[in-house]
Amino acid sequence: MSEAESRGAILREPLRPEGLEAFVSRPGHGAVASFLGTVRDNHEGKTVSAVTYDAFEPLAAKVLGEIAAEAASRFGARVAAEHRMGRLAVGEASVAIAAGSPHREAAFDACRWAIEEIKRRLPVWKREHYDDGESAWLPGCSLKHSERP
Amino acid sequence: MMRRIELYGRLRDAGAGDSVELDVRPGAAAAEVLESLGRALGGAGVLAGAVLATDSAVLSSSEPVPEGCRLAALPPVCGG
Repeated sequence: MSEAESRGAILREPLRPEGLEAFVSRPGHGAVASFLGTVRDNHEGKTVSAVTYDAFEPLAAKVLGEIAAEAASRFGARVAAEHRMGRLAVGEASVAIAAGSPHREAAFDACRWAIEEIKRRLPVWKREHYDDGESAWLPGCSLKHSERP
Repeated sequence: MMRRIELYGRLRDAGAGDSVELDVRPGAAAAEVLESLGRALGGAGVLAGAVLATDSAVLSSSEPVPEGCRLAALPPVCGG
């Protein structure tokens, strides 16, 4: 699987899922699966008005590209992913993934695998803003598992 | 040598802003730099689960901190 089979990007502007779907589509493909993560208006009983996404951009861009490439190789699919930075309103997309493959199973599996890897190892942080004016950084996964041997 | 350590996520709220300047000896391991950073931020507790990274890789605890690159302290991640 060549590098051209996948791509990943960190963006400050709104995500472009239709561009991802076009990238992963091929005449020999019978399936395109897409995943959009969006800002939810509630969390653990609190009303969420917005979420700010922080990222260590150079490393995040590299890791997202690696995740897309690994998903493409693992599932024999074309895979593209984008993650948003900055303050997002409720309903806006924070992450978009698309996978194209000859059959549906690989496309679904590649999307699912990629979002779990994004949550586990992408250097991005989420700060929720609540309707009472408070805000909080959410807990997450330590990158100690990502350390080079 | 003075190095700028960028802070992300909840570490931005540790009282030092978006970065900290630390005196890092040549060849210092990542763990040593994190220890110094913990002292600068008022205690190691704030760095629970955090790692030191360059702009291209997460450093292991024993790995010498390279020169000529960005350095960042990364708390547990929460993307998606």
